[in-house]
Amino acid sequence: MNIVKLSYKNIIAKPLQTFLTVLILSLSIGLLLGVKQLNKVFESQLQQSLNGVDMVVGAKGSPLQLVLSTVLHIDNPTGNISYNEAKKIAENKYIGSAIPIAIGDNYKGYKIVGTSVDYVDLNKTSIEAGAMFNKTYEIVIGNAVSKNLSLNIGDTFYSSHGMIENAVESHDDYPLKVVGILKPTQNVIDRLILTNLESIWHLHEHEDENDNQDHNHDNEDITALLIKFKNKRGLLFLPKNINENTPFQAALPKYQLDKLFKFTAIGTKAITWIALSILFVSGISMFISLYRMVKERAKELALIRTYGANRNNLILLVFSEGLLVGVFSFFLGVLLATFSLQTIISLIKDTYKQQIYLLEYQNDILELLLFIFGIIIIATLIAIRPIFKMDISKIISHES
Amino acid sequence: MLKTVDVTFSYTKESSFNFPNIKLSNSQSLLILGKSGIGKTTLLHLLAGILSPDNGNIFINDTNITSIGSKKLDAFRGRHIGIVFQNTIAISSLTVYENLQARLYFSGIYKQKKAIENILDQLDLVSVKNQKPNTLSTGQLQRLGIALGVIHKPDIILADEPTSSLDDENCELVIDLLKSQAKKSNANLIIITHDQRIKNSFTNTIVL
Repeated sequence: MNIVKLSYKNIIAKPLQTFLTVLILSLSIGLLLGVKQLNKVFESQLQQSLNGVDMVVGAKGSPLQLVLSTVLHIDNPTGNISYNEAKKIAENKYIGSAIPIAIGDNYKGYKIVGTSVDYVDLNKTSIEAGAMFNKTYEIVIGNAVSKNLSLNIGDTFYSSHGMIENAVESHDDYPLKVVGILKPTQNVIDRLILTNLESIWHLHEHEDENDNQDHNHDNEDITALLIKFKNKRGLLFLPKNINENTPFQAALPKYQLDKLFKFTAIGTKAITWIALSILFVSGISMFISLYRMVKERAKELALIRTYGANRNNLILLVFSEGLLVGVFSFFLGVLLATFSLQTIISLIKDTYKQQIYLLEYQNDILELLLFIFGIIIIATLIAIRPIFKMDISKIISHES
Repeated sequence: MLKTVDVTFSYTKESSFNFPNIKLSNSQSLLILGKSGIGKTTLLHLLAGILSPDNGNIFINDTNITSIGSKKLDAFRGRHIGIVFQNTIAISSLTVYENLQARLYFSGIYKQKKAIENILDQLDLVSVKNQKPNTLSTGQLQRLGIALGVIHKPDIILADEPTSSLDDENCELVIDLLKSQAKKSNANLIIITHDQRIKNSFTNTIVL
């Protein structure tokens, strides 16, 4: 027998009260940890995927949709724009680089992006195996695509029209050939299939004309231009100019994502406040539990003093009771959060073909552990007040 | 060995208890008889170091318990004094066996198994050792109270009205148990009571 064992026995002697305290405490811990981590992962994933793109020029429509579809590849594009017209914009003196992208096809749900080799550099990756696409119908695949679809160098497949997996409208006559696999980045490029613009144009021309590969591409379309400014002055003039004087729209990814975060933050903030409220209630519940223990078991605590225990032993007894409940609830909460996060990550992987990793999860756990420890200390400090006023003689006289 | 010298105690300024001096050599027993409100329990709590006297000294063996610090007094009480209450107090979340373990633990005695087995055997509590106190009969509870007061082999056993709620047969049984346990521990036994039935069981009596 020792103080911790005695605390444990006291806890299990009141199962309903303990169960309720553990339930709400672990729920609030799980919610807090889960929401914080999801928010962090979501923001980081999106910010990372911007890769310093300052502006996107595409067809008119929703600017957020344009950004989501061309930078993050999680929405349908707003439409197409003329490549020749877009190239004129790219010649502006404020523009450092302008990378064209053409999207509209997929293979088993993985989007096929027609672009230039610069797109690979923009995403800060390079070839892990094989070589960069060079000819029409040659493709380079993201690392997640290679792993998830078990595609290797030399493999060929037929793309499908549209942004989602579609076996009906496939480009069956023109196989795409894997010539390279990219290094993993944990960004959106991991789940993309890259080829040159000509491949995309050819596929769609054949779809219409069933023609050979010798075409004039003067009037071809692209989906968007991903633009990096030479300096920030471009930001002042170009978007307004494009939006007002061209048939295109210019969207600023950072601004659009900030708007999106603000919108989603309402939800996450609400959940965080709910979790904090539950945590507050569970802190009170823990305090009540400890305080009741001190008051209702005053006779037993006085008895323990007659056994030779000093005041500090009693304080330790109350504290260890709070600590046992707190630590157990904490691990249950972490378990709950981890299980939920893994389920969400798995769902995201299945839906968006994107592998997501938890960020600074141990730090979040440690932070929350210290927070819970603080709550236990506060609850104990309030609950032990009667111990300081305890009159052993009076308690024993009245009870015996 | 127990010695008290000119011990006084007051709860209020108006009333004060002046207790007679007590001197007991090793293993002597003492019965303190008195009516309700005369200060019997107060004296027991003073002897146990639960209350501090206004004046006077209390010596247990060679230690003056009125002059040692709070923590030392707690430890001294745990090791050298055993208290048997009129109505047994035990830790409700623990079994009989665990209550005895806790008693020894807080007394600073960590080799417990043999002592517990012995006392359970002597007081006929073996069959209920895994039961919680609230499931025990009155007699079993009374014996558990005695076990908790004597298991650590104290130098002084203080019993507060141990027989007042018992019938004649059980009254005699409890006194015999207390006496035999005190003898085994070579301890002083001090019983404080208003129960006149047991006055003939003791040769050494103080009437308050």
